[in-house]
Amino acid sequence: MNSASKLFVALASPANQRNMATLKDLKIRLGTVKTISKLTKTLHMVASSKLRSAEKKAEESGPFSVGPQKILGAVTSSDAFNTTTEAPVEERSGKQLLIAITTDTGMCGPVNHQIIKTIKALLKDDGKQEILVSTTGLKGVAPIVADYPNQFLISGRDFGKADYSFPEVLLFLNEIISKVPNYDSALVVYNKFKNALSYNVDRQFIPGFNLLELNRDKFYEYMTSEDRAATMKDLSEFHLASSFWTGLYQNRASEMAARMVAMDNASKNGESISQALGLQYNRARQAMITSELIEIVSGASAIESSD
Amino acid sequence: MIRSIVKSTNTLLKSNVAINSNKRFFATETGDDLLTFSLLSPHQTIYKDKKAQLVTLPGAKGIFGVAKNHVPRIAELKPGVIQINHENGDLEKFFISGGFAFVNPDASCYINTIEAVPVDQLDPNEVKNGLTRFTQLYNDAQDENSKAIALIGLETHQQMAFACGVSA
Repeated sequence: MNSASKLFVALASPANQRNMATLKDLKIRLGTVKTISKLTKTLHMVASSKLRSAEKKAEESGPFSVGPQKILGAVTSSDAFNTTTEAPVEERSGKQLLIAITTDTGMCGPVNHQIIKTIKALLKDDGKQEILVSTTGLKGVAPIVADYPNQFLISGRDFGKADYSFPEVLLFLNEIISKVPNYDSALVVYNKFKNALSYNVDRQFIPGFNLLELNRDKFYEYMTSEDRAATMKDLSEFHLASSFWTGLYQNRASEMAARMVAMDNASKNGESISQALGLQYNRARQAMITSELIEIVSGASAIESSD
Repeated sequence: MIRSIVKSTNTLLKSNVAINSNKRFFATETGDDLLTFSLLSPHQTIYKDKKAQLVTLPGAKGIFGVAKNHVPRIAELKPGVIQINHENGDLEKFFISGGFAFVNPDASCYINTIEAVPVDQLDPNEVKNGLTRFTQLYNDAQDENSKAIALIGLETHQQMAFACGVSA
């Protein structure tokens, strides 16, 4: 409390040393803090009510990626490219698509920061500039573009503002894939939701068609239609879509949980600041009244004594 | 043993169907003869790890049924009817708009569709309207692209009409 009041004394404009001005500054400041507290409190309530539905959706959409993951999960890295001498089935692009899920709006704690940190670490290790980043949400764009402008593909704004829809997701992915149709592999980076207080960055590796073909011994036991190659290519893209889809909902739930916690903290802080400010304001007001009284009394006594 | 030798020879890649049918023949697992399946759409988990006697799926290359110990399979699905013979003998039908089906070696089956609705929820009148609309679109289509789009709509509606017993 003490340090808070010191802070605000320093902030009051030093040019206005007169009591009136300081008092007015304090009053304005107090008003601002109270308004912000109200806002954060509202955001907290909104986030906590949205969290419940987001959590349910995350749970509902979760199993959608289990099927393809169960099969393609056997391929977890692109090492096969380095160990084989076999020629790729289709021309290699040498690119890895990194699709990061971030949010449009901030005020949700470390959700976006964690993602960006992970991407930057990956990009830093990527000497040959093989990774191409695309993001959903605005928050991921600026930090990536600033440091790696050549490795940024596209970003989707206002993505799933009301709710995500699968066709919309497919359009977005189609936009990415049409730029790099023969991607080596793809990586979906998102926040995996655990509970209202914890979530952590998770990545889902999706092998591209070439990689699947190089690892084809892992899928021997699966029968496909006569056109095995076409099925595997479709399967890779379907895996990308389903992983991205579940990632979106996981991230949405994490976002809401993080926002709830962040806004709760913010409104608690706001309360304690406004309390400190209120105290300071009252003190200043009293001091002013006292000094005015003294002025009047001493003035009166001066007149009296001069008589 | 035989299987592992065969597996290591790339030349026999194409005949993997035969290999797996061996496996099927030698299956020694006991217990119930039920398939564990999940029917999933993006917005909804319709069934998760549910037991069924038989699930009939509209594969891109023809309709096929999946029971326990089916050959592991990755299949693309086209618009059509999924028929589920439940554990207790009940029959349930869903119309799906296409997707993927995965039959795993551990007798589990994942059916990932984009849309799935119970067949009795299809509106015959709407299906009829859609059928005429897409026939019109198909006939009017000028370039390859719009023709392909109209054809998808037409085939989907034909399947729907077939599913709910509407004749054009």
